[in-house]
Amino acid sequence: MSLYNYVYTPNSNLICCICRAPFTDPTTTRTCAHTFCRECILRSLSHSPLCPVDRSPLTTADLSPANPIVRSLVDELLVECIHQPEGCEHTCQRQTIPLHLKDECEYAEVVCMVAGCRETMRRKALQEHVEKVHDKEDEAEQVEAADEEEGDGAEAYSCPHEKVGCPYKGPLKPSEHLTSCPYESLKDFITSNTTKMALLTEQNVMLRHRVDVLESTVQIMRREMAQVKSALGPWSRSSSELPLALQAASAGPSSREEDALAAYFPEGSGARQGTGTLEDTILGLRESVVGLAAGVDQMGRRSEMALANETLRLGEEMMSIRGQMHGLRMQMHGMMMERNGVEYGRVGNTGLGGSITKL
Amino acid sequence: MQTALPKETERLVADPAPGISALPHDDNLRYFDVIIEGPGGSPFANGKFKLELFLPEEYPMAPPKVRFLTKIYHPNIDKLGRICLDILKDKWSPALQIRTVLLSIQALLSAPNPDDPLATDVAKHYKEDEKDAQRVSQEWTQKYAV
Repeated sequence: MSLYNYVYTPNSNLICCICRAPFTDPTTTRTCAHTFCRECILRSLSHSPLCPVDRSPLTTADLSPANPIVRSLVDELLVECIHQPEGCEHTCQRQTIPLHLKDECEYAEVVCMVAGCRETMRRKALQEHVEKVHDKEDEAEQVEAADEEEGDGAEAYSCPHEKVGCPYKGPLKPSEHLTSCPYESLKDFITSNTTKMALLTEQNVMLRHRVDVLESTVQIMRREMAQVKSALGPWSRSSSELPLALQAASAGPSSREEDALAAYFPEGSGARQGTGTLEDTILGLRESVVGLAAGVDQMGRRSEMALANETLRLGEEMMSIRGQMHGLRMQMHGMMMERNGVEYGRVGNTGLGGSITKL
Repeated sequence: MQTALPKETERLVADPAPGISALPHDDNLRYFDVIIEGPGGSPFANGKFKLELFLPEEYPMAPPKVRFLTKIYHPNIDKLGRICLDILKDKWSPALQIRTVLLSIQALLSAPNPDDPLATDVAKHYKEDEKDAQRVSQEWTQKYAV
């Protein structure tokens, strides 16, 4: 429920149906996907446990931060500064208004930080205030300031450190009281503490915004996780088993081999060991693939060796056969020569005889 | 709610539903003077019915309180002008608005429901002799709602 005035009429889809203003901290119901301001729907649920739009049963557990897109759409709507009626003409995105009020807005209420003053005024009056009141004070010492207060007709003085907890209230002027005031000695600490507090407050706002963003991211992740789980089917294990599985995975090489085997049987041996997770399975598969590759390699080398051996043996055998053949051929040759010699001798003798007869 | 109220009122006044007008009191923005025209085709046609509407502190978490000021012969509206309408009681939802409530009341004039009566005698009349009952409704409209 915001108090902002929007520069342009916001899109009707960004209007909370309860407060009729653009969503503040938009919250969506998981059961029926309707969006409201967080504060509005919480108030509505405290009156009746039904969705205001469709009257379906609804509990606070069904609420989740709206889609980040919706969040951005309403956070980026242009709004007028809340001090517009006083005269501030600043307009900016809704999400930057707190920063504007804190650091810039001339009409925002600020507290004078000069020790012990604590007066609140508009920022544009601060400078003047400091110059007029505190610079004078410095010149005339704090006694005068005390006198001024006396002039106001105050009978009982309160300590300048009243805001931080000094309970003193009495006839002593601040200047007299301050000498004994335990808070006076802590003055510097208090000042630095106040600035630190302011810084922390600012950081807190930013952090809260970031937490909102993160929360919605977690929601998205959770939804995606659920989808992944349903997609994985039997492969998914409850997260409580995960640490066990990791222990088993890092137990040592011996159990790793078992895991590698188990990997092939996601239902049977996985359940038997009670530790098989998808990660383990993949690890096992990878290892067994590596093992197989090594096996194939070894087999290849072995068969290569066998082939070489066989070739050598065959070569030798061939050589010996060739030798035997050669021997046989020689033997044959010898025999042929012998026979030829006999025959040639006869022929030669006759030829010779013929020529002799011719001659 | 600080914004919901003036915003809703603004729209109600600037863009009124046909046959319905609602104006907030100057001194109390939660109190509205409402005039609903009787829907055509019903025994309440041409009547201008005055109602008062009050937004309780918890609005819109709690329903507005609405009452007929003009006398009307209707089975779901009693002598005191109280209205028997589920969205004004247990079926209220913070998503409903003044405008939707008044439109529902206008629709109730078109479609009396004697089975869930508030004015039992009128409901009996409507159940036993609808024609005659409608005649009485029309008479009352002409007599009181002009």
